[in-house]
Amino acid sequence: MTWILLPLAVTLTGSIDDKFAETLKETKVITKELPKFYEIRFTVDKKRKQTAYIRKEVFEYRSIQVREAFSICYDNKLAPSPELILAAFQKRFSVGGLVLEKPSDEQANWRIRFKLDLPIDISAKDLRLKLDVIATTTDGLEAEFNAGKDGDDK
Amino acid sequence: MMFLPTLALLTILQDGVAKESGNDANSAPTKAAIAATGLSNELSASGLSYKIDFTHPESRKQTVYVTAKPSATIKGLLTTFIYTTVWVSKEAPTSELLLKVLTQTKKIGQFYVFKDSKDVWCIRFGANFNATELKESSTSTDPLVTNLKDTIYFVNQVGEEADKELNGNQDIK
Repeated sequence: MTWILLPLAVTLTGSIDDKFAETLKETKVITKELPKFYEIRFTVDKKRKQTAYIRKEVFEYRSIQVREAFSICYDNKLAPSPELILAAFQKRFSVGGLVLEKPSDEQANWRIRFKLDLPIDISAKDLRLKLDVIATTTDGLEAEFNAGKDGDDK
Repeated sequence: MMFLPTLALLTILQDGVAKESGNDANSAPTKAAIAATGLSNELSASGLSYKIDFTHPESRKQTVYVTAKPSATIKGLLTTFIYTTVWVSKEAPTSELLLKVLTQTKKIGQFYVFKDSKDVWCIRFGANFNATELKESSTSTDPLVTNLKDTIYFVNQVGEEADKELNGNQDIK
């Protein structure tokens, strides 16, 4: 897997959304560009790894224009148990929440993702803050849902 | 690669009912912003939320709640939560029902499960609203007020659609 530094990623994404790419650059996070996502890797507490994604597609509703940012906290061929689903989706967060994903044509596993909605005009400061929130919150959930294992640590 | 300490940021994780009774910040900006939306509203019986009733075709109703006081998260970020109930029962939701609802992806927000103090189970849909920049007074033309109103509309719309899908003729407000 090749990781590229953000300045290169910004060059690559310039035609897609110059303003957001510039904001992403200001956060100083290291980003890899995928066809539909920006991918950002974190190390939490210097050992546990977490990957966050920002969907390039912008969701619109009236004045609302947001991109989804998320990270996966459960990723398994086995469906999460009913008890886990009930417990997980009773959790409340000051920002963001969980979505359950069934296996599909695009991905083979059951997943639970922690997501936030990012306004398209988000500042670099807020973007960095929310990316940090995603990384650390998801890391905590992943440890809880997978008995302490770091699912992102390949 | 970014190195993050977990200790401070993990405090954002919350369980249970606490976040629907956010009590961390001044409520005046939220009150002013809701008034500026022009939507008819009233304080809920608990005083913790503003309650906005919508009427849909076939006289169906949907109630959207906006937490009266924003929750302080980290680094000065204030969030207000906007939510509506789409399913209610004395029994916990079945696995089939949870799979049906929780796998739905919406443009903003998400579904979640809530059990109240009377052991009544609910499925709700909610979305965060960034209240950090709300002022003590607002006007209907403020972009943040427009954004708040549209978030309320969206929660109402998703809530009514989910209510209809899950409950049919039984109308859950």
